[in-house]
Amino acid sequence: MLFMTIQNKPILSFEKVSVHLSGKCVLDHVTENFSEHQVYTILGPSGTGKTTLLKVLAGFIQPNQGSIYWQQAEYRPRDLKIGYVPQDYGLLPWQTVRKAVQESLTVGQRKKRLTLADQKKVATCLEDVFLTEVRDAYPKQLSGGQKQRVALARAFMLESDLLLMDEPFSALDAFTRREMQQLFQTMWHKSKPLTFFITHDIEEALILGDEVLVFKGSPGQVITREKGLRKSYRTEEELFTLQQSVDYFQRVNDLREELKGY
Amino acid sequence: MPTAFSNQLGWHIFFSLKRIGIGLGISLITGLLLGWLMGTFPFWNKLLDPLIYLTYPIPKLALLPLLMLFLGLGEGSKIALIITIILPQMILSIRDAIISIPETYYQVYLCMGANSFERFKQITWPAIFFGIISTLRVSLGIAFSVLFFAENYGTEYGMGYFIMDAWLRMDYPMMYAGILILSLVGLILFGCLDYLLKKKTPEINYDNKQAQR
Repeated sequence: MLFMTIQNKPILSFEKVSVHLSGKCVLDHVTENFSEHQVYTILGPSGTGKTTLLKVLAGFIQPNQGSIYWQQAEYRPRDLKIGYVPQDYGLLPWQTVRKAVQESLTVGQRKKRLTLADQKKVATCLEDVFLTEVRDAYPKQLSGGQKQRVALARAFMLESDLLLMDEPFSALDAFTRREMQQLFQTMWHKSKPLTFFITHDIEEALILGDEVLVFKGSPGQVITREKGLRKSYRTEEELFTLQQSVDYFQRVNDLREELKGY
Repeated sequence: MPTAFSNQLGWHIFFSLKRIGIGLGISLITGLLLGWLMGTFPFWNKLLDPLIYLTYPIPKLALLPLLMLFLGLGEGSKIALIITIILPQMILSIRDAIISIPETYYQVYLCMGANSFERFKQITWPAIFFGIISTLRVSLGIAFSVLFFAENYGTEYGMGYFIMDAWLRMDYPMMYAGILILSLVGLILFGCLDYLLKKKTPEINYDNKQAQR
């Protein structure tokens, strides 16, 4: 709470939102505000409703109580463009890399046919995520990191209002994961969507988030919101120095303690 | 064999194929519709599931007299017999193919703002295509054997009739020729289905499968 800064006007607010799933209360009276162009990382033990929160935002689950507002009006997920990156990437086995990314432009009554500018956009996007060489490959032929990059490219191609990511990098090895984190940040800066990013990696939560939401308890609640470090570094070197600092270790340990408590 | 062709063999094949084609076509459309309903909406599944399980084990050939009674001795009862036999398994395999599509496929598309037509076109249809061809193959085989009974009455055309007729006349060479030709027709049709499947599912590497298993 000490780190909480004065936020600009919230674009998304939860008011006493409760969710019951098959008779069990999963989220209990969550009241939170979220601002535009921010990355919120979500930490918490399993079973505390992290994924449920994402599903509520995605519109797969209706809250049983309370209300959600988007720009002061009722939140209607189907009226928004939402980028959703599930844990298993959700790539369609019959779509080539290029087709998967293109779909973000064509699907949803937007465009029937790609214009030349669109094709260029897709090509640039594929270039950005280093997939140009495998653009005609099917998911089965890709490595884990490549699949993840397709999922990222597809989500960012949408230029969505809201980006939801459910432990997107958890299946990757440490090295690939760091690459993906960098890539995520570069891509994010192009459209800066309001992002919710679930992770079980404390460092990832700190490095990528403007704010870290810590979920705890069953039914789950947001127990703290800590300032993240996303804006505290610009280059890899700066990040490296930051990660060596005592303050950084302290914060990681604090968060670890916080999560252990339950 | 050459004499077989002089016996209007072309017409026999044509009539058989026509019956199979119409039977399969109607079954496929109905199967797709009901399979989709059952796979997508639990309500329809609960409603139709017991009905199909209840009627599936009934030997449909035993229903032939009834079909003849209601639909006459012409094409109607023949095609109806084919449909009653292959429809249940078609519905069930299409339903199961739809049920087994991972939820996340749809979730990503829902979030992108895809309407139900787009979701069907981009997800459901390609996902069940393999299953459709697979069930068509099984059904085609069954339809051929059903033909044998269906073409035993009320018609003078069809491969079933041709073979049975030769048999009754004790013209065994002609009978075996008929069987051989029936298999060849089957071979061509199966080949077409395989070709279609390979062409439409380029993501599956059919040639490399064996080496890995």
